[in-house]
Amino acid sequence: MLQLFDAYSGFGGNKPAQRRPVGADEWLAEMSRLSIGRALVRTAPEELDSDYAASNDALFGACENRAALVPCPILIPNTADDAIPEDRQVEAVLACGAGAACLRPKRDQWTLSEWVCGPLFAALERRKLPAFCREGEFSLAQVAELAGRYPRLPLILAGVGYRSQRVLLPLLETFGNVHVSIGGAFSVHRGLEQLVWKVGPERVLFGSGFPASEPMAAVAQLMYSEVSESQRELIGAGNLSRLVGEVQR
Amino acid sequence: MSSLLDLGRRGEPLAGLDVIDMHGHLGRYDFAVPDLSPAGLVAVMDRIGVRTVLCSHLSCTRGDVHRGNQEVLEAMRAHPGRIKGYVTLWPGDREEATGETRRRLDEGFVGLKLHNINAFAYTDPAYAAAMAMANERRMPVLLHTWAAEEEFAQFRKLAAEYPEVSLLLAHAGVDNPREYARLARDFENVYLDPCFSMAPRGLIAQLAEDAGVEKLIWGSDAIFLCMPQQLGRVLGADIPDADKRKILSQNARKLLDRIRT
Repeated sequence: MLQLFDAYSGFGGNKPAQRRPVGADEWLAEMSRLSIGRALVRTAPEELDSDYAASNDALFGACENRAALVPCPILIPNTADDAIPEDRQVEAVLACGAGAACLRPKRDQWTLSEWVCGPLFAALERRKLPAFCREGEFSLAQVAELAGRYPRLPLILAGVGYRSQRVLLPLLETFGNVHVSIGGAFSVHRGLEQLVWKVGPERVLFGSGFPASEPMAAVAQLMYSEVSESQRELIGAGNLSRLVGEVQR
Repeated sequence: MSSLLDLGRRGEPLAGLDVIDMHGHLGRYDFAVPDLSPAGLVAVMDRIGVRTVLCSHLSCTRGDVHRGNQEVLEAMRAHPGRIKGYVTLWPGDREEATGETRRRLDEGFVGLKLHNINAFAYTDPAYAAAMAMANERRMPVLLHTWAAEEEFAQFRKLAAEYPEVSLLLAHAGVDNPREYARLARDFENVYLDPCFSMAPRGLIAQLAEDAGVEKLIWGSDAIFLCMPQQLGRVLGADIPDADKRKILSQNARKLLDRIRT
């Protein structure tokens, strides 16, 4: 069975008209059902997630005794002195086992101007802690700008829609530090194959989009794609394992 | 792990299942699709184990439906039994729409696909003769839907007026899934096709429970969307394998078998 390490999943967040959040154990049960071995997890959904610190505490608590879950906590610029300095934020989340940092400039009310987030991205880049960027929070043009500004920082782009191929491909071809996760609305006919043919398999990641999306959709997309078995292994788990393994802890 | 889920998890074809995709497309749209060829679509079907896809042409969104229907006809002839055709129409001229429908049905198309991106209601008089022909031949008519209130009123009118048509509501559950399910319960000839890029978790099981699993058919929306991804939604749904077989195959087979040729 192909090993899977999910780059695009989460739990614990709330949204309007949702009676109760999806919990860590619900996701673990789903992972078990689909033989997904590990998952990079963030707080999701994000619509009503207005306290990043509380969300991180809950996320780390949920991951502490669940070895299959790798936390992807939220980091913010400390420009208003309402957090701790950015380099200390990075150290703190690394101490808790973070595999990437979830950035939400819209949700957490900051911008991508260098004079706002420069220290945050510099701290991430020093540790090679991947920045998780979901489309919706970031435009593809903003991801490109960040990738150029911080060339040693791995960026994980997720939540890409099915209409973005014309921009996504040159983004990946131009910036070698950008990685893309399938899952959610990435429903492109032969699109996964085209990513592999044009940019190689090393920067394509398996992701499910859980809890919003049925995770088997992305599993089937990967398993039925016309790629070699070694390419499938990289996409399924190898690439994300490498990214998490390269974090300077 | 259920047997169908296990096959999908291993990426093995669903051999012997007679999978029928009731919502496919050919042709170009405004965003990039890596492979527009009918042969590429059939290659994907082979990897999954899909026997047949019913295709319409995306030219229905811009008006030059004659060209699009002709391309579908060529694909049907190049891939007999694998690609079947829906006639697409533009309601500009009633006589033209009627003539195009008659000609294409005589050429072997098996139903109609209508899209309301043109801002014309599905109850527009220009469609009436085509709908009557579909009714006479007990054919499926696939409608693009997006849960708009005025759409639901049109579906009710059409379902009552053309009781022999199998009315397939594409993107069912994109919003207001209970109203879609209510329609499917209220009308024997209304079926739900829940294809949708986001693959909302739990929607298939919810529609199966609320509308009845016999009222669900599978459509991938490929090449507009990704066929394996949309298949995974059914394989992963929290319903028994017997129900997945109905959605992927048996329900559609019944609709195709009742067509009068």
